[in-house]
Amino acid sequence: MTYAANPKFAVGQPVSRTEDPKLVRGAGRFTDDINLPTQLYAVFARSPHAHGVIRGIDIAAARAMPGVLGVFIGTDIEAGGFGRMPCGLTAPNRDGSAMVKPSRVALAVDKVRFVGDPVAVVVAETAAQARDAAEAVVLDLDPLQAVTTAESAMAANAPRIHDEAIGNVFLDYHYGDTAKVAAAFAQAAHVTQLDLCSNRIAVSPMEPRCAAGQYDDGQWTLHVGCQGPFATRNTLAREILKAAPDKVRVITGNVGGSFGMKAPLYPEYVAVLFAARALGRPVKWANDRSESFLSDGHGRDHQMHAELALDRDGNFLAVRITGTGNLGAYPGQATVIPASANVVKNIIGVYRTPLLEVSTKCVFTNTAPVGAYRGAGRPEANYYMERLVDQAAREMGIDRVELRRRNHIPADLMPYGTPSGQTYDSGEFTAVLDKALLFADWNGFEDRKRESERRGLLRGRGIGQYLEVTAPPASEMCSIRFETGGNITLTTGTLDQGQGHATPFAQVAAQRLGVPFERIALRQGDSDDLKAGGGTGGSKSMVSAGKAIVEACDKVVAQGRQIAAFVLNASEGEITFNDGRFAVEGQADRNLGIGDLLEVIGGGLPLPAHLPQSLDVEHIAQTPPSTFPNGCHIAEVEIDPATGVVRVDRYSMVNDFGVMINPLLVEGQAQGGVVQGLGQALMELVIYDESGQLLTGSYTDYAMPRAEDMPELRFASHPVPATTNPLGAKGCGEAGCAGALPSIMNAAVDALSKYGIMHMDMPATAPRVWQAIREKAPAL
Amino acid sequence: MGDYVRPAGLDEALEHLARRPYAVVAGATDLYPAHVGRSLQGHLLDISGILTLRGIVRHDDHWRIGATTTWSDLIAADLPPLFDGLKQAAREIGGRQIQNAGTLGGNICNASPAADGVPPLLALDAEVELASVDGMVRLPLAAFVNRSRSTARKRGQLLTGILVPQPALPCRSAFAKLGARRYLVISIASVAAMIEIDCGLVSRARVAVGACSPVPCRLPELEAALRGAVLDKRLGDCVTESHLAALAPIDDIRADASYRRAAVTVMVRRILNQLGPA
Repeated sequence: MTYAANPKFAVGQPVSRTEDPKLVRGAGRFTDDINLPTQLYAVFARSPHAHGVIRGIDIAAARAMPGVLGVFIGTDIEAGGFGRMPCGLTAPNRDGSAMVKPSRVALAVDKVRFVGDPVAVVVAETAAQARDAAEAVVLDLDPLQAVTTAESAMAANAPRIHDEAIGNVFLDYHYGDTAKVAAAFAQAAHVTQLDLCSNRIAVSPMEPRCAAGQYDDGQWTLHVGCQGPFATRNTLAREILKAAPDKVRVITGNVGGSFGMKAPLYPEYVAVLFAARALGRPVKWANDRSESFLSDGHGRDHQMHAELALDRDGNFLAVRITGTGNLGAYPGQATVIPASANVVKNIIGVYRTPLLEVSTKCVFTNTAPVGAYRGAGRPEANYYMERLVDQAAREMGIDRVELRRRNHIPADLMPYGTPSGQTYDSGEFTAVLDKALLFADWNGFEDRKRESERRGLLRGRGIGQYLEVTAPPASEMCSIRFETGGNITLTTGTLDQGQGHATPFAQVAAQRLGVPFERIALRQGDSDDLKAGGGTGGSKSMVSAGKAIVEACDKVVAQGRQIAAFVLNASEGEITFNDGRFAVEGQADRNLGIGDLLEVIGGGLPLPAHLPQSLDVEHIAQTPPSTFPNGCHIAEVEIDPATGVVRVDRYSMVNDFGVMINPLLVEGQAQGGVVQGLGQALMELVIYDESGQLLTGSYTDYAMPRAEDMPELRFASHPVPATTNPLGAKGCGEAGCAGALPSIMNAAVDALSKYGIMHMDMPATAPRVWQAIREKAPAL
Repeated sequence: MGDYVRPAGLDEALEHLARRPYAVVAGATDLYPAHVGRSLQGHLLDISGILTLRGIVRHDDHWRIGATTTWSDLIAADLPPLFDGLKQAAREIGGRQIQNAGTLGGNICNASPAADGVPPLLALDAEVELASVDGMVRLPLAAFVNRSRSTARKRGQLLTGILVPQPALPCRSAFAKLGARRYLVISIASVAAMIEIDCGLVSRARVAVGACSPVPCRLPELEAALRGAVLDKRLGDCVTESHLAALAPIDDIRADASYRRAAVTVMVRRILNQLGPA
């Protein structure tokens, strides 16, 4: 058997995901598949009211129910010495003061703050017993008025949700030079303004949240679906359990989708650990879908006033974004980044806009906490800008393609420093646009429009040219272990949630080391394996883990060179390494493959003590800076003016993801992002009523896109390799949303402009579109 | 939960029903979502084991659809154009798994204002057959589904079949629904129509609308206006707002009443145009 890399698994090949055969057979190991010996089951009693002072929680009846071993409330957790739910992220307010961080006990003690706020955990021998008993928990509340929108939460007479947060403002964020931006707007020949909503989303991964906690003689173990066990372990140890990190182990198996939602530490995880210690047996909890709608972090929910200043020729002078982010009831699980820093970083996009100002108030409301969701502010910022560009083009009578070209950052200005402090290493934005126009048959639109009109339908086309700033640098780990028999275990601190890490990571390692792809297995998800690891999020894993893998492979080669020199009786400097073989320079017949070296080492050949004793390495890398994936998506929609039904008829995208390690998986990521973007643009919307009750609590009332709603997603690439990481890759995981929101909505507005409609908010549902048409054309 | 019984024969089922109240289930596709997170109260009579209640049979002057006939059974059945509308509704009810489990009888007895099976059956002038230990009775479907979430089924009665008269003349039928998506969704509005054709003219028309009134209902004024009309691609042009006066659409999070009223007018026009010659 040869022990060498097969070119069909090389970097750049569309290799199918190696985990799929296992997953389609149902042999995946998701958290709810974990069953620990003597395990008990937890169910949470949750608040049915959005806001109220807790007068009492009567657990006596629940405690007496069959099979129940324990019922715990927030005061038990406090008395047990557990820390409160942390809020790790921080940012200063615009006046320089610190952001308020109200603390949260895992189970509410003083007040409940949203419908679904957990107040007690019931633990029983079976899940059904726990469920029955949870219904017997009696929550005695003095109801308070609820506020569900940022606007109503900031109103003068609004009830205060957290004592510390005056006006319910969590963070009063500001970026930019107000005076300079104001001057630019004052001098502008034209100002375009839009009020834009990024609608609240129920994240809806296929696998609901789940956790199983265990405590054994001072050692804690949590099985949980998350986005990185290393960070989760550290937060849990430091903030909650007050334990040394080596006393806490977080294990994650397969994860059925997260999209940012499963990243934070949730109160349920704390409660199962508390219950496991209190009862001396493992405790498992799994959310059902109804609870997911109530208690998972939601996504988006921003309301922004967006303004673009242009000179007479259409050159962008400044962009200003002012608005609010509805963060829901608690910090910690919520994150301010999508409504603040990520707007700043991403609003610049592909354009030479010299000035920007972003002012956002992140506000508490009596709704589920709002966290990261695919892109976490990146798609929104691109959406705001691309809507402004189309609107400005319409208002100024400039062709929207020409207006974009005129303002592109030219390729020859790379590296380019943006006013938001980023340095773009690469990008050919005009070329991407031109390629997309051809690919989408932009010029054939009029024929298709006439054909739609023959069928009584409106047709519109829209461009979404985006650029995303992927996650910032951190440290990331890769270890490579050569098992007896020749298999190779790659361990990384990133964590797959369905992306398919195992395949491209192995492609990189196989090519670097010249070893068989099929022999490489990826190990992730056990904090005990890790000494670093930022996890997966912000479209960074291929770039960050990729650099760690490349550097770890280099270390393997360095060690191999030393051992090969000894075995081949040559000096280390004479040893070359090519295609998996160590050879003595100029004497090609004196060579050893990595497989041969493994046999030598495994065969017990004594190696001098000054040499490495194996090829195994463990490496911590400083990950590369953010990458700048970009692209141009072009959508064409048909709208039935009589019913308002919007259908995306054509969708074409050209993306620059740099070097694509595995183009098959990259295309899959782009497709998934577009599907979620289409859902947000056309149908998804979480609705609370005024009292804070969730009206869209099931898929009966919350519309998710299905295959039937999707046009063919045509995918093409214009790869410009990143210069800041060894693979030349750019992040691709979230870009689909960034292209889809503006292209689809610009197309919808384009179609509706026939009636003089200049604005439509997401989601562009049939009743909303119909209403807008009716207001402009009542006779229709 | 109380008792659960699953008899193999109709007589046994009727004896159970005569003894005490049961919730009757077959596919249980409405029962489960109505009990998410809540335990079932009362007794359950599962009639899915009674084989004689399932299937579609042609008789001299009518068709009989057994109460536990599933939507998938209906889609697969070899039926004349009379049933095109009902089949179209079947294809848009839930996803395939729901179509495999959900039954026509259950859809009727659940009496949802948005029940997609009811408008096409109203357009077919269907009757329901109710059995009890005292014997068999028939009721027009419109009289059976009498209020939102309520039927005229009496204690001890079981809906055993749906009877569809065979018209004397050639006919056509169609169904359309509007929702946030096409499938797996509660309708914003649904429309069904059936016409009998005599020498290129409409000799009889029945049009029914769902999700725009407490129970799906027919539009008699429109049906009268269609009688004698030339069957062409502009059949729907005669529809006026007054023809839809019987409807009382509501506001909810899916759509408001004014939208429903306007959209259903458009849908009625289109479905009638669609019935014209190809």
